[in-house]
Amino acid sequence: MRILLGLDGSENSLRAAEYAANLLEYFPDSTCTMVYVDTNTGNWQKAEIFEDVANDTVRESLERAQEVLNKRGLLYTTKVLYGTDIAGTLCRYAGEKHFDQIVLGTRGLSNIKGIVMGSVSHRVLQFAPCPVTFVK
Amino acid sequence: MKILVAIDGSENSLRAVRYAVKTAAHFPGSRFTLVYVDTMSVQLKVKGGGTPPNFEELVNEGRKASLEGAEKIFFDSQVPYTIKVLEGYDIAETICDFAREYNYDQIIMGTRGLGNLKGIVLGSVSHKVISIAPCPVTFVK
Repeated sequence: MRILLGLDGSENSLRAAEYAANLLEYFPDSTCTMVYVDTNTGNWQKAEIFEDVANDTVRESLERAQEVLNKRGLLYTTKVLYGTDIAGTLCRYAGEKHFDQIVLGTRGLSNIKGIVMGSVSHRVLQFAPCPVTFVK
Repeated sequence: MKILVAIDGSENSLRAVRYAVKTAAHFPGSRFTLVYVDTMSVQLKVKGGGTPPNFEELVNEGRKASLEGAEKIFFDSQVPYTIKVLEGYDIAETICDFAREYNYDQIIMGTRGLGNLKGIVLGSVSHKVISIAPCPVTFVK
């Protein structure tokens, strides 16, 4: 089973990492790819300090999740994608690389808040090519 | 691991059931509960003037149609399961309340994958489940 773990550096995405780690342990033939969608790149491209800012945010977001899997001695690969539309970028990648499962942390916003704040999870649910697990 | 599989008899919910028996059966000590939320019986009851004479028939037919396909999949793959029929008006709330009360570790359900706008208009169950679920939820399309 090929698992895509979507990360954003939040507490919820750490819980999602725990969940992915469980899956990895239950399924002997599974692989995990951590994906972080970098939305800053587009906004920052013109700034001088772009490299520093972008790299720091990406590294921080990934590091904590990597720690979760490292602690349990599990293997994974890491992938940073660039795009403004997090859900679209994730789903397209999952489709292209034929992932079997997406695991995502979610803030669990209500319907109205979700619309106003542009809920990533709602959009992933709509466009996902495979089963999606949301972890709160 | 206690797993709740929510079903409504649709093609998507059958895919969720197939996913459940195929994938989630690997989870250690997994126990499945098929949950069907019966909204019809509540609606019939609140119509007033007592229940229609063929109430039992109407309700049972709905339940049977929804559970049949799912049960067959579980039966064929020889995975033990229990069935729970819940009565309620709001599907998402009924499912999540049940999952919370009985400490389920995972909810699996099918989804039509509607867009944001359609989701609001048609009353997306999955959006609501995401926001109020007490445990991880897996959606199968």
